[in-house]
Amino acid sequence: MKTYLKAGIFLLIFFNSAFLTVQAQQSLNDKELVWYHPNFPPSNFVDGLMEGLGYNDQTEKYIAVQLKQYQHKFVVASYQRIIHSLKYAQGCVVGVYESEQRKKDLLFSIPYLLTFPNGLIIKEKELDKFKPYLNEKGFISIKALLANQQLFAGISGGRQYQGAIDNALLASSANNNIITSSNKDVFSGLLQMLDKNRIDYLFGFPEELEYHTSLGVLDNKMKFIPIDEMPRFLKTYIACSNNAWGIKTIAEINQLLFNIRSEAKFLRFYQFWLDFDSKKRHRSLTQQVF
Amino acid sequence: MKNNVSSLLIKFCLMSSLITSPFILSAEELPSRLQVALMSKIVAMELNLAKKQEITIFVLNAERIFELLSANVGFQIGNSILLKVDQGSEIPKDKYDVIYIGSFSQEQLALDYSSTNNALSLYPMGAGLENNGSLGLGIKSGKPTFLLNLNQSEAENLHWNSTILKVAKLK
Repeated sequence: MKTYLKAGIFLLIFFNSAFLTVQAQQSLNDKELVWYHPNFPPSNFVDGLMEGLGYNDQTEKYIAVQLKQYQHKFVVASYQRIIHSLKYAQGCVVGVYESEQRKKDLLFSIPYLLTFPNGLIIKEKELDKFKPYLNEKGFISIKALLANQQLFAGISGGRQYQGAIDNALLASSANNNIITSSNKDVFSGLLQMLDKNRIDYLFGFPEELEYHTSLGVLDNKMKFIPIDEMPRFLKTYIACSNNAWGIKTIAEINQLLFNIRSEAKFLRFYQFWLDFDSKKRHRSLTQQVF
Repeated sequence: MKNNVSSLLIKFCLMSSLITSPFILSAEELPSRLQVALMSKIVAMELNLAKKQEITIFVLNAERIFELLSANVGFQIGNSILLKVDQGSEIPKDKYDVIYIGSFSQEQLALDYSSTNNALSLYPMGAGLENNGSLGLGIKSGKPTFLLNLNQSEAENLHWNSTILKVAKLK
C-alpha cells in the first residue's frame, strides 16, 4: 500500500513538473516575436552596408523597440517561405498586402502605410513597342498588353503584384509569354533579364526601379509606366500567424500603429525613397486616408 | 616609443594606400540617396557623434545631398537628431559636426576646416576628389563601399567603432 502511495506521489510530482515545464516553455515562446523579412531593396536590405536601412526594416525596428514585452528575433526568408513559416510557426512580417487567400492563413493588422502600386518596367528605347497599349495619360492597359503573346513578361513566383496585375496574370497563366522566376530575389534577377533582352517587361514598384537603376549595373535605361487598371495607392499591413498568440500580438501592434501611422517620423521611412512629387502626393493621400 | 608607433602607423597607412589604389580607381560615385541613407549608420559608428543629442552638417558644393539631408532635419540620424543642415560653396565660418565635401575645388581647405574643428569629413568617391577626407562613400560592382582614411580621422580626432574597420577599405 505504501509503495502504491509513494509511486502515486512520484507520478503526481513528475506530471506536475512536466506540465509546469511545458507551461514555462509556452510562456517563453509567447514572449518571443520572430520578424521575418525578405531581401527586397529598398524595402529591406539584408546584407552589406545598407543592411537594415530599408523602409520596412526601419518600420520593423521602430515597432520592435516599442513592443518591449517581447524578445525580438529577425529571420531572412523569401516571401513564399515567410508565408509558409507564419502558417506553421509563430511570427510576423511587415509590409504585406491583404488578399482573400492570405486572410485564410494570416492575421492582418490595421493598414499602416499607403504605398504606390506596381507598374510596368520596360527598356526606354523600346517604348514604341508599348505605345499601342498606352492611353492619353500615359498609363498602360495590362489586359491588352498581356494579350500580345509576342511580348514576353517576367514575373516572380513568390510575389503578389496585387489587383489588376495578379488578375490579368491569372487569366493569362496558360499563355507561353509569361516567364516565372522562382529565385529568392523577386526583382533584380528579372531586371537583369530585361537588360539582357531575355524578356520584354516586368512589374515592380517605382522606388524599387529607381534604387536598382541607381546602382549603375545595367546597360539599358529603364522606364516605369503606371498601369491603368491599378488603384492609385495600396494599403499595407503587418501580418502575424493566425493563432491565439497572433490574435494577442496583432491587438498590441494595432494599438501602436493607430497612434504612429500618421506621424511624420514614421512616414519618413517610406517617403525617403520617393521623389519630390510622389512624396507630396503621399503626404496628402495619407492625410485623407488615415 | 610613441614615435616608433607613429612611424609604424604611417608605414601601415602608406602600404594600405598602395593596396587600395586599384580600389579607389575602380569605385564609382554612390547615388546621393544611398549616401544620405548611409550617413545614419556612419554617425552612429563614430563614438563622439554617437554620444551627441544633436548633429549639424555642412554640405559643400553638393546640391542633391543638401536637398535629401534637408528633408531629414528634425528626425533621427544614428543615435541623434539632425538639428541643422546648411550648404554653400565656401568653407563655413561656424562649427559643424560633419562636413560633406562635394567637389574638388575646395577639398584641401575643407580638410583643414575639419581638422581644426574636429568635424567628420565625408565625400563621394569617383567624383574627381583626391579622396583625402576621413570617409569616402562609393559603389563597386553594384555594392556600396566605404574608404576610411585613418590619418585624416586622427587629425579630426575621430574615434571609430571597430565595426567600421571590418566593413571599410582602409586608406
